[in-house]
Amino acid sequence: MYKLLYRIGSLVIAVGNFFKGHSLFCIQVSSKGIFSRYSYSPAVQMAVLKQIYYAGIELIIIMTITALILGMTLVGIITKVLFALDAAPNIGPILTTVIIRITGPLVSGILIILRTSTTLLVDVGMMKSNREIKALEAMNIDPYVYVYFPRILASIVSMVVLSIYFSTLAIIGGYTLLSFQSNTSLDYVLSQIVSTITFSDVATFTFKTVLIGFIAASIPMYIAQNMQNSRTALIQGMTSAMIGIFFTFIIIIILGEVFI
Amino acid sequence: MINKNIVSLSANYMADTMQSDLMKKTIWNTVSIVSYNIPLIATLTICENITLPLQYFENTKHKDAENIAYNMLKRYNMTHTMYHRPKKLNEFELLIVKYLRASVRMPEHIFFFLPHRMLLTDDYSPFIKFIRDIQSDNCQITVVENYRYLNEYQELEFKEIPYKSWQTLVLKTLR
Repeated sequence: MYKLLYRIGSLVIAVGNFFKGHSLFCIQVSSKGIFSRYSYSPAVQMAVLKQIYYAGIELIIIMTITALILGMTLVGIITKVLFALDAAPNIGPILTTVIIRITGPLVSGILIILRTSTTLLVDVGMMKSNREIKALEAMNIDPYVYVYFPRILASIVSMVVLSIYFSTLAIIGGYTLLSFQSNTSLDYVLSQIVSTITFSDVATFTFKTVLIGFIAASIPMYIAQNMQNSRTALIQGMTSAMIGIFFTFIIIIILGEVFI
Repeated sequence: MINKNIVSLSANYMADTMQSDLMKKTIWNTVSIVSYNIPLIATLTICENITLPLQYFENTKHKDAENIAYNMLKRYNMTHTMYHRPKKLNEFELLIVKYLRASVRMPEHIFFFLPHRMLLTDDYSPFIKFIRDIQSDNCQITVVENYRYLNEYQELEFKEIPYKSWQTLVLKTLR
């Protein structure tokens, strides 16, 4: 019993410390990133563009295939069921909820986490162990401005753009299947969806995509920044980062649905 | 006027102490460091590594920065390495690139810490030739090296500075 309590207590303290440290890290990155005059220098702009390329553009092909297949499956099945139940007028709200509010941010988030978070952890971890972060400090270049901020900004931009791209393609993919099954026109499906998009949908979509993009970059970099220079540190760091991101990801998805 | 100095050390660890002292007290746009433990950034090209301080601090545009890097590399016949990653260069070429990165903002002082560790070879002569040929009219060069290599500098016009007073004599600041 004592051991169990001890373990639970240790876990709570560890989680508390993690959130405290991560929050401080995020505040530092955001404040330095936004208010430092060097954040707008060509070097940082180039770093942001490079990261957008790695985090977003390289994912386009996977995202296109996933969106078309998932779109065909989801939109096709949902619309078919609605027509069978004679509930075709509800097509707009249901597709908006399923694709824009849930599937878009969820699938884009999973892909961004799989692609970007793992890369960032190794990238920043290697930079730290190779003393490259120290090299930047030796040149008086703030790593919060030059290394961490561009990666977080790129992750947010990529996440928002990829989610919009995913939702659009999923609807088009779904419609392609639908057009073979019934005489529904694209105009009808789109007008139904657009007319039912509310402020709450846009707010939920923005809340989820921005926050998922933020944590997908900030958690691995925070863990990489605190890693020791040892052989096992990278593996341990990867495990902690993935667990941390997974729980935060779930919390964001739930919060997005419950409070907005 | 001699503007090249050498500080000889009885042990290598003293270089680390000296380097961290320097990093704490330095006025950054006047002092640059070339050191075995300050590497180039592996994900950037040689051109980006050299011009990083310029693009970060002085908002130099990418094209202008490229021209500056090209002209600097041309002096050492290294223009072909401009878009290479650091891992493609040998140790001596890396040392040259580190020096170019340190000198790109035209600092008043450039410190070389333990160059023998950057060469990773017993042949010290390429570095001696390199340091001798550096034109340092507006810049003071200080090499911090283990006493075992002091003989190599005898034929050069280097001013020997005692370790205890390097800050006073080189940086003109008091401990």
